[in-house]
Amino acid sequence: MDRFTISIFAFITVLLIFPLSVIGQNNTSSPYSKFGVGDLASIGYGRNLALGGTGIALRDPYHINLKNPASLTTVDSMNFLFETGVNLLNTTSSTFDYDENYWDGNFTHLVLAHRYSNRVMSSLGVMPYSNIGYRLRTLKSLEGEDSFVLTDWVGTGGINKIFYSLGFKVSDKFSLGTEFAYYYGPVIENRKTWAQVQTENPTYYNSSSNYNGVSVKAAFQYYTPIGDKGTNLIIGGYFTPGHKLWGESKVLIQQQYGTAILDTIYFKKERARSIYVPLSYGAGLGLTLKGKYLLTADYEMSFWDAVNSENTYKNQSVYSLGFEVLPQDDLNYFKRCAYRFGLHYDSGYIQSKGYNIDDIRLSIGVGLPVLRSASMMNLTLEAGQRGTLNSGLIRERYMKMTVAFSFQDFWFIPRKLN
Amino acid sequence: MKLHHIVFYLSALVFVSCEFDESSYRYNLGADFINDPTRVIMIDTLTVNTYTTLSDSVVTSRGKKLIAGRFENALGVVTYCESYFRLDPIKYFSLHETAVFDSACLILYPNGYNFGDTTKTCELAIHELTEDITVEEETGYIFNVKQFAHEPNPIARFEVSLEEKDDLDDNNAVDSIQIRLSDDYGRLFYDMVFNEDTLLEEKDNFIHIFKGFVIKPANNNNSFITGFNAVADSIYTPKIRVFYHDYSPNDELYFDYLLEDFENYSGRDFAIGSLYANTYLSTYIVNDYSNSKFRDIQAGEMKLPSSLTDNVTMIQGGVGLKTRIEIPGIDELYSLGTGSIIQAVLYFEPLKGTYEEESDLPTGFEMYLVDSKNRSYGQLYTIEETSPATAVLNFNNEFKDRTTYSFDITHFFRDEYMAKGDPLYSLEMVYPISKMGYNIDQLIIGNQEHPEHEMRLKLYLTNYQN
Repeated sequence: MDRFTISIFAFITVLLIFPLSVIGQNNTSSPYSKFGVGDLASIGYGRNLALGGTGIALRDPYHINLKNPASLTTVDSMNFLFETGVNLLNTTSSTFDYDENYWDGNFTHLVLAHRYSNRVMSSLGVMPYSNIGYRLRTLKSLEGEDSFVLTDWVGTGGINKIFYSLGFKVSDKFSLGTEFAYYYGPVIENRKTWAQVQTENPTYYNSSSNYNGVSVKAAFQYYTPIGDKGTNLIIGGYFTPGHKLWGESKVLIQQQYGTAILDTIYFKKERARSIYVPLSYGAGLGLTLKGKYLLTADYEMSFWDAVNSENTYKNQSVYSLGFEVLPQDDLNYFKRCAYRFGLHYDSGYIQSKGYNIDDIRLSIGVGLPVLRSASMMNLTLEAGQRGTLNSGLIRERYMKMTVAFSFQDFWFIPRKLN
Repeated sequence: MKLHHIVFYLSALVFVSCEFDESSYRYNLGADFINDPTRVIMIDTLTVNTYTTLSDSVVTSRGKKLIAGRFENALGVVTYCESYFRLDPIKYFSLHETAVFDSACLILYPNGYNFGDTTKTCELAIHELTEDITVEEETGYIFNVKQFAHEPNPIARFEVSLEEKDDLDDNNAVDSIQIRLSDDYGRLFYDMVFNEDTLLEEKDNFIHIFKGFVIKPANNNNSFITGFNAVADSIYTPKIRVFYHDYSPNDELYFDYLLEDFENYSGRDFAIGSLYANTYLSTYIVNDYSNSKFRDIQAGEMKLPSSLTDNVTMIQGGVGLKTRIEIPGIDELYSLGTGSIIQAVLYFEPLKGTYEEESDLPTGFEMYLVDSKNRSYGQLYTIEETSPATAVLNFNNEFKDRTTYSFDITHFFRDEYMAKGDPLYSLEMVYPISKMGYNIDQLIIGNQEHPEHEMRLKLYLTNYQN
């Protein structure tokens, strides 16, 4: 088998395992993941994440840059890239009088990049598009009597994304990219409602929807050296038209009586209310200084206000900044590492009680080369805050550690000496 | 690096990404920005129509007590009852030739059952029957409507005094009532034994002569109904005791004609067993409604609306007075949308002045599913179907007027709601069937329109707007 075949096998294996690993795990713990399709996952990992999430104007032959498919054209003629990662998230959710802390972990992405020709490169990957994980208890008054009704909410699931990207090298300085993505995954909400006056007879509402959808993305990158050797400028941009996720919902309502009786009150399979993922675009600027430092900045915009009329969704602006001390070809191991810093501000697309649920985070990261190879392990630590304590809303403070691995193609070359 | 290394690595990855935390609900988070679409509603405005209905008849034989008396309730309904029993002949008992008859008496043991105005009198009489006690051929039972003829003159008369009984209760002794029989009558029972009469050898022959006895109110002044033990083969069994003396110095000589012990009788038709004990012990129970608003009531299909009876209904053992409950508007609940019944509880109150203390209020009422002609289609069970649903008495010691009964009819409501369409059944609340024929306890309850004792149906349901 050639290495391409092997890698396709590996990829298919992961595809089969991936949905299982998504279902039944807590990949996020945020009440805000109740909205829309859930918490949108990061697009970039590895290097991008540590650089504040920037990547529209990043070109790197040793990392797959998921934010801009046009950057694929840097994949070296000999290289075959493979990237994956996991993360660990600690969140403290607070209201004005209450805190809770929890841990979540998740698989982040799995991507292969492959070169067809000098001008055409591709990547194939799977990653979470959104994560859903919330457990809430709400209290409301019982109509007609002075007592209360409680509801426990459990949301799970999330949308996964399989994508295939192509990069075209139009010239040495200009590349185009496109990404075709297929979305699939469940959005599950279970509710248990009971009245204080009769706790033994709760009602269950279970909604399970499986969504599917496709999207396309167009991108470009322009690269030009300026001035001294090693100083250059990159400009990038992407555009994604809005698209819909559609699917089928199963709604099951059951009434329990005591311990033994469970009546099905309602069961229906129906077309799920489609979820609109809005038009978005992004632009980025990258500046490499004398081959030693990198400065990068992205701006992205998503037009969520077209999503619905309930005023819950607002247009989302994302600003990211990154700074990197580039690895040097040196005998000193530490000089061969990359040191990264980033700042990320996301205005959020959910509005609740007049407040945008925004998100600001700082990131630091280090890229550790694996000895005697071009492979790299990327560690990123992010610290951030989302939401607000105002008006009874929730503020989340989190720390997230991500470990991503970029493997070069030596992985797929059998060792002849064995 | 080979393929299996890759597979190993990927498997590890999946494990790493598995759950770190399956923690509790974030109870205090989120309530402010999520709107729960599930409504839980309490409705107490559904119409509940009640009626008093009456059973054709109630089995009163095979019980364990004799009840007799008469009383008039606050609504003018007069309950009358008399009980019938038989005695067994004495077998294998012989007297010394020197034996001499002294006296005879009837001994009864009150069992503490009293219903009515116990501050007044209860004078009872015992007569010998002139008619054989017979069971209904088909069922082997005797019903409350069956009356047996008796001699016009009583063999004994006595007054039940409850004060005396209380004293004895304090001494933890069992009260007994001994009623002296006339010597002429008592001597009949003595002579049969002394002469070793052949009547005693064959029970059928004995019963042919001594057909049985009735214990009944001696007059119409009785204000309550009282009960006596009637368990065969017990020291507290009713009996005729004959005292005598002979040459021996023992001055406490006697023999007893005991309550018929069916288990010892391997007679014609009946198997031996406690199930058939007291087959011929029965009670005639009848209500006189003529001076009450219930005067038009008839047994069977008739439904007497509570609106015609001063907004009350009656439930009573013995005669089988029942309260029929119709809830016509269940289907209207569909207009609220998809939903489910969480709980349905009926609350009703006993009429003020019809009880003094908690023990005056009967408990354990059962509910039966009935059709439009009062025919029963089975008992209502709790929603979990583990036990029959019964009424719960919430006696309010402080404010007796606030005493209520509650009856959980969730099961009925759920079934009717789920059935969608015409109402399947109505409900009939009855005195507990197992005790029905042996008690004349009654309860008078208000209906939904009663000014002081309003019946209420509290219904909790969920509702989804979808």
